[in-house]
Amino acid sequence: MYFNSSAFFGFLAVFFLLHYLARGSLRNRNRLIVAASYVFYGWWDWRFAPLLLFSSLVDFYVGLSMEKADSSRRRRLLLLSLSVNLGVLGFFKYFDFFAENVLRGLSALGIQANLPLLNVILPVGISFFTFQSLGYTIDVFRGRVQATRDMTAYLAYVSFFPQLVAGPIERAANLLPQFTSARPLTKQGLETGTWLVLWGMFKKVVIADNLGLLVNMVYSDPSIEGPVIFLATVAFGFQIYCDFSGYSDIARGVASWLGFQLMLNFNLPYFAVTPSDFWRRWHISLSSWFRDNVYIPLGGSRCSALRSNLNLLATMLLIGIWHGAGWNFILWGLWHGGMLVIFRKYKPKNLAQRAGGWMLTMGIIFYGRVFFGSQSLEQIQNYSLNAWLPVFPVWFSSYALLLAVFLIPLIAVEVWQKMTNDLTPSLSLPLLWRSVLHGMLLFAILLFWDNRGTPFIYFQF
Amino acid sequence: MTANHGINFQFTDVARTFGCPLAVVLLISLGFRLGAWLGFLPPPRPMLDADRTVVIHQADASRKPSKAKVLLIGDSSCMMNVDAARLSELLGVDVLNLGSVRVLGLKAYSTLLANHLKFNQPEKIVLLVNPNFVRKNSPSKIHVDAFDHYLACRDYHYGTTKVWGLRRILGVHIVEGRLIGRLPLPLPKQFGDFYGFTTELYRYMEKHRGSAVDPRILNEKSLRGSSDYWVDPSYLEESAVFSASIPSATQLFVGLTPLPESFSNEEFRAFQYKSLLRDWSAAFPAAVPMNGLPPTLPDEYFATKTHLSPQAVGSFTERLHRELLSASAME
Repeated sequence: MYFNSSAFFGFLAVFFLLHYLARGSLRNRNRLIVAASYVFYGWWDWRFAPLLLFSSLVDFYVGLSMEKADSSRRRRLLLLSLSVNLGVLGFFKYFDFFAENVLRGLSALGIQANLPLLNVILPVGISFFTFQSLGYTIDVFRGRVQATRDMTAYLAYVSFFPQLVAGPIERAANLLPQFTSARPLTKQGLETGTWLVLWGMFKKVVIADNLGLLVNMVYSDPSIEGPVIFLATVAFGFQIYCDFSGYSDIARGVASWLGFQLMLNFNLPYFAVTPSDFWRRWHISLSSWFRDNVYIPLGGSRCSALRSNLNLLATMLLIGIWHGAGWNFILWGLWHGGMLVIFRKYKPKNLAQRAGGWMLTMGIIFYGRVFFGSQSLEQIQNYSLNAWLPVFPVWFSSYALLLAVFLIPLIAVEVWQKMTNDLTPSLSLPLLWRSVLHGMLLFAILLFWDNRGTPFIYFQF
Repeated sequence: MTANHGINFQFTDVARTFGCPLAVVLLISLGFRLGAWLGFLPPPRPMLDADRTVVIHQADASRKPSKAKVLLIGDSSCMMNVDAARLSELLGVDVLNLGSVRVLGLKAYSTLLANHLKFNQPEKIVLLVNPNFVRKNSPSKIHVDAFDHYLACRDYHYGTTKVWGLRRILGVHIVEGRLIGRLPLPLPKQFGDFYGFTTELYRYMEKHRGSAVDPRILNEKSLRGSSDYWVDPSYLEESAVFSASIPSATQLFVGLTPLPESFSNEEFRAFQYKSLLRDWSAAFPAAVPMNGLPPTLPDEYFATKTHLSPQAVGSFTERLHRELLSASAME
């Protein structure tokens, strides 16, 4: 069930009605959230719902056991949680990649081995919910949060349907207490939620899905040449941004309607003026998860410059691998790690430096998109070399025109958000103008609505 | 609603938050309907995909004065398998191709022909269709409606789901047909690789006198299905209408485009093709059957079961040229 499908809005209507009826009891509301979340998840493939339950229950009991355990037992329990979560992830997501590469390596050495490929379906959102659940046990282990004794609240925390399949990857310290305390539905939550859902849906249905058609025209052909590769890469950069941040906005909006506050996942990332600035604004829930649970435990920046740089590279490599089992994701992670190392000390001060820093950062980020979007290493190589050739397909101008048509509204709103330093700027408008803006967004969404719902890109991760 | 139940807003807040934007949507919808009615908006031009671009191009071409002495008309095999510009060179006279899509049906081809004949008087009309077209008269409502609405300059709506119904009520289809349809929209897969966008496909057809090419590569799985052919009896009435609009000074030639060899059997090549062509041309009074066109061609000449690959179009166009000369001489 995609957010951008009529089935989801039917589901939401039924859910809100039941949520309203359960208003007398927080526990019943949490039970309802758990039930609805498992229905939502099972809609894709009910066979994976037990996997979600298993992962949640292991971490719930690991957390409880940690509370009473001594230091060495706590370590063993953490190891158990890590093994289960990363084992599940490794089995479904990385086993075939690993096996294929081992076979290829052995074959290159002249050894014919027989390692079976599993060809299993990847459960949707597995990287998100395993990291959210794993984050909880790490936080309990480190004493950042207390283990919860409320199983319903914990199951609701891991499976909370607005953010279950593509984040934000919530931290227990932020989300878990919201399931155990009063969460009134407020006027502000209603209004904020409405803006977030409308703007998120606009970014997905109007911008990302249309840019996706442009991207596919080029990225489906690894041999294409010329500056259209630049345009397609820009289109891909904005497609993935609008797709993913659109999902996050809708998730945060629906949660806001229910009285929850999910963490901010994107903060105008394409205004970043350094690579590290970009990573403070892009997929914040993932980058902060890796910062707190990998980079800092490795020593962070409180060690020698060499060690600190290696920590950064290792963290970004893992972020790359988190995205998928493919060499392109590994290269993408290393590319960003390398750029973070190189430009670590770069702190633009005046306007000219910030403008230069922005251009440089965008160059780095968008070149990284070539790694992210390519299907093979050959494609990355061809695009890197052939984008500079003076070859223009007959449809080049149409391509550029359509790209501009879909980017203009995004840029206009983001400049507005940047200038007002407010990510929900429509809420500051008088009712009339806010309604006009919201009405226009709604009309545009209906105009480009595809009833089948185009999948969100990050579901595959 | 009270704070006791954890709901700290009034019904008016809900009405304001959701009701006011919905009211704006209704106003926008009203504005577009009014704009369309008063003529402030450009006329409908829903070039929203490859098929509708072809339909609109051929509808436009049929209503323009032309110097064409030979008019090709038929299904997509007529449009994709014959290079009108090359045929023009070979014949030494202008040729226009009004071949469109199978699902438009013979009735719509009659309309295209009638429109063309209002401004033009070709010497020869060639009705060229694939045996698959002859076997089943199956126009699609979506395409026929798109064609009829475009010719009548009316807004066009399709889709049967509740969301589509809502779109219609809100006039979304007006914006789609009059504004979005004018943008260059990307074509999918191999059509996207070859033509790029709807606007480029339109320009290509304009430049090639109504002809296009099929850039796909033959998928052997598509060569399935029955290889028995007959004339669908429901064509008889429509064929009479088609023939009736043709002036007496104009010759009508009727031909069939080839099938892939591996799809057809020996019986088709030896007997069925001839009887199919005979029965089909008999449905059009005074039509001259083009007996010399090949019933089949090797599979490697094809892009799909009915369309030739771009490389094979030239040789088929030359075959058509020879056949036209010979059929004209016999006539």
